[in-house]
Amino acid sequence: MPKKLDWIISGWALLAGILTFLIVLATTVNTAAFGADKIARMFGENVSGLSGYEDFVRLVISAAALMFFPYCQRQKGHVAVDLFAEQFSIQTQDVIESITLILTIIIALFLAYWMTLGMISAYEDFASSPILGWPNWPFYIPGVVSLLLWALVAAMQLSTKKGRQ
Amino acid sequence: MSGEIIGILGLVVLFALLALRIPVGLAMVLVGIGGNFALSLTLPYLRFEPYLFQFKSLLWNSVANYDLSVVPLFILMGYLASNANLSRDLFQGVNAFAGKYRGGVAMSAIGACAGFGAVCGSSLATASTMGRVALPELRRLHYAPGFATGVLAAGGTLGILIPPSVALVIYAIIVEASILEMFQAAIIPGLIAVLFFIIAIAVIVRIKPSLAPEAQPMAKEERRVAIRRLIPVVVIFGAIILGLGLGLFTPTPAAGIGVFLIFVYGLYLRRFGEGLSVAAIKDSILATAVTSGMIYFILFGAEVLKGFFTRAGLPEALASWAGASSLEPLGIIVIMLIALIILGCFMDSLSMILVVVPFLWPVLVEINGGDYATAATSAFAMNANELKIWFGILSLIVIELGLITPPVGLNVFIISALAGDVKMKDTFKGVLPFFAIEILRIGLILFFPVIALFVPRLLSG
Amino acid sequence: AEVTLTLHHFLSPKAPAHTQMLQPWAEKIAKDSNGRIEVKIFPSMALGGKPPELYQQVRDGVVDMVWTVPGYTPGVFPRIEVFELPTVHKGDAKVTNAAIQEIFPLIAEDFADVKPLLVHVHAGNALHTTSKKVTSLDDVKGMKIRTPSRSGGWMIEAWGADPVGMPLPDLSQSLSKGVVEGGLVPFEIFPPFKLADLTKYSLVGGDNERFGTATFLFAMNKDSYNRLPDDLKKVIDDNIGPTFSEEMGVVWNNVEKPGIGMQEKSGGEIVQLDAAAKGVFDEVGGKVVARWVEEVGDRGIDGQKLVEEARKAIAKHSN
Ligand code: NA
Ligand code: NA
Repeated sequence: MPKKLDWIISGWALLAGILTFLIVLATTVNTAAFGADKIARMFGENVSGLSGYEDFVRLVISAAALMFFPYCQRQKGHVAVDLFAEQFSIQTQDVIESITLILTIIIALFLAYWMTLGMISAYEDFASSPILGWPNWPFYIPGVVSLLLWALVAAMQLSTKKGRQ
Repeated sequence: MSGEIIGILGLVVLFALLALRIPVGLAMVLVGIGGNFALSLTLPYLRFEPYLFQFKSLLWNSVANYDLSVVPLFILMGYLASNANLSRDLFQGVNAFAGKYRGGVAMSAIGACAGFGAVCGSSLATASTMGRVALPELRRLHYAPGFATGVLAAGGTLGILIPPSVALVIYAIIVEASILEMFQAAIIPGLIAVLFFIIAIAVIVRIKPSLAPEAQPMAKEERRVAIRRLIPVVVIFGAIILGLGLGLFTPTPAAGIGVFLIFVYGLYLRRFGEGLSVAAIKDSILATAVTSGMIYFILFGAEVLKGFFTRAGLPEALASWAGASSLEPLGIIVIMLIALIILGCFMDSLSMILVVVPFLWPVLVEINGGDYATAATSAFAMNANELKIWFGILSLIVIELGLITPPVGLNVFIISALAGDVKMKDTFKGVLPFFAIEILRIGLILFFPVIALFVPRLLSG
Repeated sequence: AEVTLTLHHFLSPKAPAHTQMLQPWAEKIAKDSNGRIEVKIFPSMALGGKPPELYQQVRDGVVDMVWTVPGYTPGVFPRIEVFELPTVHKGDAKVTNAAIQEIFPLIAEDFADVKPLLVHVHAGNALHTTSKKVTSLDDVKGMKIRTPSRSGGWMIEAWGADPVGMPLPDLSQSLSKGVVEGGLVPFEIFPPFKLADLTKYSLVGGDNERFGTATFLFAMNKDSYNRLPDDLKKVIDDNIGPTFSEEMGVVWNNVEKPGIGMQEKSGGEIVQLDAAAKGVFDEVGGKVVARWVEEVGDRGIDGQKLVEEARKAIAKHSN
């Protein structure tokens, strides 16, 4: 895999990690506010939590979750059943792996295509989150980019495989 | 050709693709889309082209899910705890107490697996983390190799049941149960497992003393350090599990706070040259990316597959078949559990929950008397909500058994690989007594559902 | 059957919406078409996707019909929300359904991409509290309350209370653990969620008025409808409209009764606001309406007119 792509893919996953830490932060603040509220109640006061916290988590995780995909593909992290395939010859296993990579590319591009249409729909429909009122469509963008990167990683894996033979 | 036949053919193709080592998520998506195409040819009202339109929103909506956000959080929490060496502190700390008994280090490994299970969402991660920590110690003290690996492979299964657990989250989402109540229901069965495993170790080393060395209590100073380091770990892990158990937190906040506490403690440990370095944090994130990416893709695949199976009418057919059969309700559950054990030998736990449970669940609701059945009118003497919880605990224990049964016992693979020189066969042999005791536990929960239902009943008032 | 139509929704096949509304409707269609149309119902999101996707599914033709909640996709149906607002909806599903029928042309734009079969409401949200008896606006200040919808959240905020969002299955335990102190839901969901045992008081406005409601959309894909031969189109058209809407209003009013009975039987109290207190709540409800009018105004919609027409129609049908 070219160094540059490698760097982009890891960076993309780390970015998703940072988004996950944002969720952690929001959760901690919200829960702390909730705890503080319980205490404040004893003195007749009250502390409110982050309004729209759930919306925030939902939208941010929608981006982060798909941003994990390219790195997962890079590490061949998608779980498979090893039991039977071990009995196949090396050549057969090789062919199966190539087919798997080709199918992965097709599915990733297929999903990227439809998700782009979905983003346009979300934009045209004014679809938004219930409490925060943030529009949904921008959160499709990292997903579409992730799917394209996913296809790219699989394509690279396919070509390095071909190169080895 | 009827829809049901296409559905069954789809199931066959799915298993064939899996056997060819096509990744689970990919196989599900392919069969789901291909199956819908086949259906559109025979059942003209299921038009294929419009069907494809659902992919506009299906993927995004399957990840834009607040409840599911606990999955990457719990996974991150487990990796951070492991990279900050909290797993080691936990093991050494428990060992400070149990080390004075024969087989005590093995018991400590079980205790540490349970403790680590409380911050880690997955069995495999629990097995591999605790394997890395405890295996060298067990080998150094000359525990019999197969016994040592067997203990750890079995101990790893505790991760799936001791809350938090990714498997429980996903089961709860599939059957629309409360994640929190599932966690609470798992507490007593989880503790029973720990207790049974420890008793098993005590009995085994008594029958066959050659498996474990004489007790070698820790030196006083070493013991003091171990206990001192155990305290913060117990506080953090305890906060998470107590918060969940008492219903003070819902799962996402518990996971968020857990990550936060471990992160902060890990940074604090930097002052002593330990804890979380930048590289360790990076590693944790990347490992989280792999595991979470894998899980999210399987979840999406299951969604696509579900759309195919229901269009084909498969779950309906199964439910009406079971409803019409003359088997006792309990008999049907036992058959289901046996089927799950057998399937568990070949499939990973997540795919089992996602592929198989959606078939079993409607059948159970049907024989119980429907969603609105009350305890008084139902076949299992519990309402649909409690049935969900009880069956979830039972089926997850059974599915976790698949991790230690041949031929595909993933925990056994992992531990044997870690040990290097221990034959897989010996590990399977070492696991055997624990397997037997698990069957006993399943029987107990089967005949005394209250073991699972007690805590959620208590806490829901 | 000559034509098979798929109908997708998110509730269980045992829910009243399925057994008392969708199933009887499907049977009626089969009967009126002499078996030429079969409506195959897929409950519990069986055909895949999450509830917010139902609208897209019917619009794009993934399925032929859906029954869904417009509130699941905030922003997509800006106009119909008028009927969810506190002080607009009173407490009677039959009345509000009739009003929706009457001023439908004003909100039709929301449903321009589908063929709406029925737009209706449930009887309305009451405020169920675990231990605190609410008799005035002051009592409710600072309480943590599970919000039913977007405008419901605004209302809770306007009350000076904290709106908390959560999935319905979590409500029972959240109430029992004090995560929330109350929830705005109809009585309909009392039986499956044990709310009678968990809440002591259920607050309604005077004369059984509720604090806003939720709207529901039963809709058909346009192409699926247009493809039908004229006589079958007529079967569909004969089974929608004012009569169907009224029947369903009665059904949704009636599904409240078991829940109300359970609350009374459990020793719970149904509290009616007195006129003075109700006036204060209505004033705050008015602020929510104003906020909504302003918000839809940004989309170029005359919210004020919608509110006035909706109120007029509801008043007319109340008598
Ligand atoms: Na766990
Ligand atoms: Na009550």
